[in-house]
Amino acid sequence: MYAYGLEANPYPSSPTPTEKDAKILGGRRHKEAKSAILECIKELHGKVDCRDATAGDFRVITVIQDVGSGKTHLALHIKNLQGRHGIACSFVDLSTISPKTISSIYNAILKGFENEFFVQLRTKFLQDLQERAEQGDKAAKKAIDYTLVNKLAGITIKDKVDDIVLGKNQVSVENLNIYLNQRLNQFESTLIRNVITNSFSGISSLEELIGMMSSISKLTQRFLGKLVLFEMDELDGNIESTEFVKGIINAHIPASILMLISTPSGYIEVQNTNPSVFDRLEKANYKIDLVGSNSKEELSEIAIEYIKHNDKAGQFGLKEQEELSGKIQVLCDEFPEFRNVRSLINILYHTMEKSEELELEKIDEDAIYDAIRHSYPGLKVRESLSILERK
Amino acid sequence: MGKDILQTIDSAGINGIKKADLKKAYGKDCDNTLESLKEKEQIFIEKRGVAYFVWSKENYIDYLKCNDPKCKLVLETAGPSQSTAKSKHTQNLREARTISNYSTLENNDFQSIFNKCLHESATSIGWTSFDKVREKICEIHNLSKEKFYMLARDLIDKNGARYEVSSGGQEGIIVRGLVHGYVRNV
Repeated sequence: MYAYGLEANPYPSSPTPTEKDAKILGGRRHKEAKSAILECIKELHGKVDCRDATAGDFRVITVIQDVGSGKTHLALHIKNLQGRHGIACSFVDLSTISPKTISSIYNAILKGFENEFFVQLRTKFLQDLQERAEQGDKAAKKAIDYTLVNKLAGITIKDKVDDIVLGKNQVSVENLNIYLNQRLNQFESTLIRNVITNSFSGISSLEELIGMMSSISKLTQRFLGKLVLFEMDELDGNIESTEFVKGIINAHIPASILMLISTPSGYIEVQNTNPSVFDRLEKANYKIDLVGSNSKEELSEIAIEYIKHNDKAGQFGLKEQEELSGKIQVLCDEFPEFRNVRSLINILYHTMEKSEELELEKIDEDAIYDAIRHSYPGLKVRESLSILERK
Repeated sequence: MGKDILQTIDSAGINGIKKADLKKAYGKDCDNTLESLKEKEQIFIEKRGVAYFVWSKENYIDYLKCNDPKCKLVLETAGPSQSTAKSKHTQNLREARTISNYSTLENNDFQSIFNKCLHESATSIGWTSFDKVREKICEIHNLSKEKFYMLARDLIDKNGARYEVSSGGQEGIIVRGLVHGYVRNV
């Protein structure tokens, strides 16, 4: 058992957040940032509901703050909420793409969506085909390979489509192409074919990338009633990244939001290497500012939130929260090194592990001291830790 | 409380005592008492490293003599003897304070110059690089690069809630062992 009667360590152990870690979001400033992003989504939803989206239905959000301040955590937290807010979200970490080509960026965008998104889209596309076939559309019937033989055998169009959805049967790719090309543009046809056949073809030009991203967002809005949020993390002055961002912003991909996450260093790199992109970012619709995200109060609130979220036993009351907040504030005063979300969470993870080992009811100075020694063996802590001990 | 605090400060000797330690021992009211003692010139407060230290008057002079060669020279030139005559002692203290006040004045000027420069060169969200600010200020005010960063570091440490710094860049102030080359006024 961990401190405060917790069954598991509430703090994440990895240096970068995962989607699972990001289910919890603490800190007033981080919550305000979240509200601002959700407000943008709500505002755009209000504009595009009950009509097809146009070029004016595009938003840009920037999130610029120092390393380890919780930007990626915020982005992944929003991604976790996509089901509740009518969005399909793709998270892309630009630093993991090398070399940065149009093709690799597109693949990363596709991989950045949840699998469930493509499953839902596929089902909707096939249901649409089914409806048209049932209405007598011969091209639709051919696309799902529904023949006279099926009819005579008593197999309905619905049965046929159900089998395709379950993977027991295939569409006729040739006839599907004919059907799609008669009704949709090149990129929309390609996307639907790719989704239905579970096979995504590569792309090589910025024009194709913009075409495919527009198709994803338009068809997502039409078939699923959702907006698409493209989250691009670790933006910097890299030429391919900035040209890609410039292309996307200029294209005004309908029914979508482009959220760009960077550090001040990356942002000023963009300023120096691509002033026209920088100018566009300066005029973003929403500029999320995590100012004060590394303040003592914010760090205390974040630390407390993790425990509160997991406190099934109800042992982490107001008194315990205030005590922990006090210890964190002393820690931040004495160790400027830890005045950062990432560093503090790391310390608290190890502190919690120690609390389990020592069977502590609550976090105390010894546990914190051991955690610091364990995490930062080279740090001269002796003198300063005496302060914590006296506290 | 004033007497107790003064006694604690005096007993800390030439190394002084951390302001944070005094606040922990004597509570929030300690700040007002320290300000009052400082105004009466019974104590001196100075930043050392990342923390503020407090000395009693005599201990501060001894500290300056040991650590500031300029101050030591001035004090030794001002009077050879270490007599406890009140006028000589007051004169020494006045000279030591003059040296300290010179830095304070510089710091006050520097803050307004720094803020103005930040405002002029920042992006819409307030960030700018230290090297840009440094080049401007050093050129106009004839400051060395080292002096600029000493003053900038001091300013940011004293006004932690007012400035944010971010890592990266070729030059800047060192925080957590990393060069923080970007700054903004929040």
